[in-house]
Amino acid sequence: MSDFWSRYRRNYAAVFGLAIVVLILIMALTASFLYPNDPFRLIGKPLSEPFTNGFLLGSDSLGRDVASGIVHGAKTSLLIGFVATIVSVFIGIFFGAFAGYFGGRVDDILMRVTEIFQTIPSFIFAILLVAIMKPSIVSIVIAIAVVSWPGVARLVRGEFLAIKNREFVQACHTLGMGDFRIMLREILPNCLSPIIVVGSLMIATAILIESGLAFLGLGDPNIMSWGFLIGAGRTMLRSAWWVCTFPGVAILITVLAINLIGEGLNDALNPRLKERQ
Amino acid sequence: MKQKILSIDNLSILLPAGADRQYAVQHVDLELHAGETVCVVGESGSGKSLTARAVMGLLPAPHVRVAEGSIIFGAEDISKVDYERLRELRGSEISMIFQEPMTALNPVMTIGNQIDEIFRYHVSMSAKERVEKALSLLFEVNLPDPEKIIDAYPHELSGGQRQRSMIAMALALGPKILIADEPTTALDVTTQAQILQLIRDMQKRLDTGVLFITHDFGVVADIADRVVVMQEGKIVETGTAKQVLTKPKHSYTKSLIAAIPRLKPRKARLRASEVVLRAEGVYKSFGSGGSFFGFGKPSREVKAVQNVQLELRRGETLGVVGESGSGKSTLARCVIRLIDCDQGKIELGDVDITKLNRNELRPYRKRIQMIFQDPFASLNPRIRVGDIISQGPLLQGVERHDAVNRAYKLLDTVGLDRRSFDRFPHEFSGGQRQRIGIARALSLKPDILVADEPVSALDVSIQAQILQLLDEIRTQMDLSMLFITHDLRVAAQVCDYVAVMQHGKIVEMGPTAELFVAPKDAYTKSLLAAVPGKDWHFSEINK
Repeated sequence: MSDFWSRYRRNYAAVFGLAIVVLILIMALTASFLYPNDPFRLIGKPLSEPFTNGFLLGSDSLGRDVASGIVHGAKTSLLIGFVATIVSVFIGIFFGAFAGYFGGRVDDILMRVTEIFQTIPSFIFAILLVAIMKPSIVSIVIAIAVVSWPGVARLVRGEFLAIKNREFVQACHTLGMGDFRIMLREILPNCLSPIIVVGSLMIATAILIESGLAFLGLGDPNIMSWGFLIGAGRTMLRSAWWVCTFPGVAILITVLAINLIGEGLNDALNPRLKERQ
Repeated sequence: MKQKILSIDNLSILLPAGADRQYAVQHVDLELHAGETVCVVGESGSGKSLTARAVMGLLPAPHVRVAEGSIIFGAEDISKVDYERLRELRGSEISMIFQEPMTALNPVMTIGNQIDEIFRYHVSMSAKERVEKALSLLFEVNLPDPEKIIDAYPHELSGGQRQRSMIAMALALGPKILIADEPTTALDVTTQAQILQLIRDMQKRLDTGVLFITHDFGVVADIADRVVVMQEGKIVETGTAKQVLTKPKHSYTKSLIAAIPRLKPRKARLRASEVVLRAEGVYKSFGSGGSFFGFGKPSREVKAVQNVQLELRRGETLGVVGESGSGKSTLARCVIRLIDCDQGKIELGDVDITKLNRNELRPYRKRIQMIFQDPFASLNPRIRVGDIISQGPLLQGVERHDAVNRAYKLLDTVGLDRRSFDRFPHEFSGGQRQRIGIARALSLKPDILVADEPVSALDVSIQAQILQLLDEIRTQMDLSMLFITHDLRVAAQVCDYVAVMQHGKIVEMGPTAELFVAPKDAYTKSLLAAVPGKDWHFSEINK
């Protein structure tokens, strides 16, 4: 573990990314202290510019505080990003592990199913799913998970295919170990590194999808999120630039920071790849 | 003595900080004359390959670089010349052949194109001349049907043919020095013998100086004029081949030579009457290809094992020898039911295990266990050594306390410290890992051990230790062993009975002592004739 951290630390950009994400996390957790008011409350003059009328980042067309929206929205964006990623990683591991381990007919069928999901443009598929299920946090998480698991499944399948023929797995067969135990105890721990790396990058993608959905008005109407703020301000982009810009910057910074972390994890977990350069 | 063409003086190669030693190679002096073969011998990590690479200017700079000393070729110091000059020298004056011809050749270019490149970069010739020259080169290295091979891609050739093509490329411009880095290690013995012969012939014709890197003293005995023995980056002994092979001075050289398995069959022992394992009419073939959903018949079929009969009696070691692709590993995996055979019976005692399903098979698993070839792939890197050894008994329903105790005892048996129990596999060397693998196989108290090339990935001195350990364990526990190997010298040393496999069939079987002295089958004879250094071994035996 300390070994891992010392390798991670060598990548300054990744440490920077981690610091940013920690800051955003703290911001999200302390949102109710920073802005005790409901972010949906109309608390001042509509369309105030930043630093006027007591608004740090201005207000929107109804007089809602943009800064408060960003702080509270961070909670939603991060939460959806994490939960959707965890769900899709689980689905992906399940499909990939079975396909890779058992091979043959099982592999053929599971991979054809995966391909069907891969052929549908993911964002449009997500829109469709949310539209059918009615917009809510749960339906958004489900939609994001459903469109993003195939990548994980492919990755896990590849790893399982490579590892299942290694001699230590054969040794487990000769000891009489059962299939599920071999999959879980012997193979899965050996392919965690790439899964963690891909998972960390998927969080960023999930945040982007969520913002996109909210921007199109398919977000949960009762919960503040960054996409919602952008959606609310998009008609006044030329007259009141701040309503869209600040949440957009928040998304940009978060996604960038998460990508930097993913990169750093990749270097730290697969040190050999880095040395080859 | 002929003209001196290469002299390495006081060469030291620096390793990056954090490596297990500061210098990969330290104060190495070496000379090579025209028409001479100098063998650099050593175990893995001795620095022999890096020395060769330094001559080619192929060190992985900037991490690994020449720290001091010089490599004089002609009038210049290769370690100091610039990149352009180095490029001129490479291929034309100094060339190299590698261990694995499949990775050394470019897979997307035809052999002809790759030979052509050398001419295009180094000399000016018309396209027609170049093709003619390439053809004559392929002809010279005894490749069958050069017109066809010139248009072939590397994957279409066999290992031996690839290495021949590599040699054709290396010798295309008649270089003064040929560096051969373990060029026959990845090849079968019969192919190895042919390639060694080819290198000798070409060398005689072109008066090339050959710097030959190898770990195999048998190869040294066959090819070397002079020998340089390296240990941990330093030269411990140099001399003519005869001197070093018959009267080694340094203790390391002596121990290396002593560790080489002799092609001297072990004495026959009394054969027990109890048959512990019997295979009858075993067939196995592999198919590949198929359609979209995996339905339909496979398009290609390889018959890996055909109609094999075997009988293993209590306490004996039955060797299965053969070259790569002979089906010996497939047979081992069928016997232990890692793969199901298509036809035939495999009887453990009086139970046919091919008919059992997985649950019925479980109680029989513990009677037959396997030792694997690659000590780095055969242990799960994420699981502690103690758990690796004790998980078998736990699965078979032994109490945790007893399983742990058994694991500790097994660590003693295989000669490892009890503290190894809580460590992870990556903390151990290849030989130690193989010991862990053996402990795991023994953890279920089996009657039969199937050893699939258990020592072929190890250095000779480690190899000797592991073979000795296996022998001790076998006597101690009254085990029977099915021993798969490609190395006849190893087989001679450990096996009571030997079966020779070719193209999936057993072509000859008999007691080791008889089979090695008077082989009947033509294939067995050719295998025995190809064993590197056999003249040396036999002359020693006759003494």
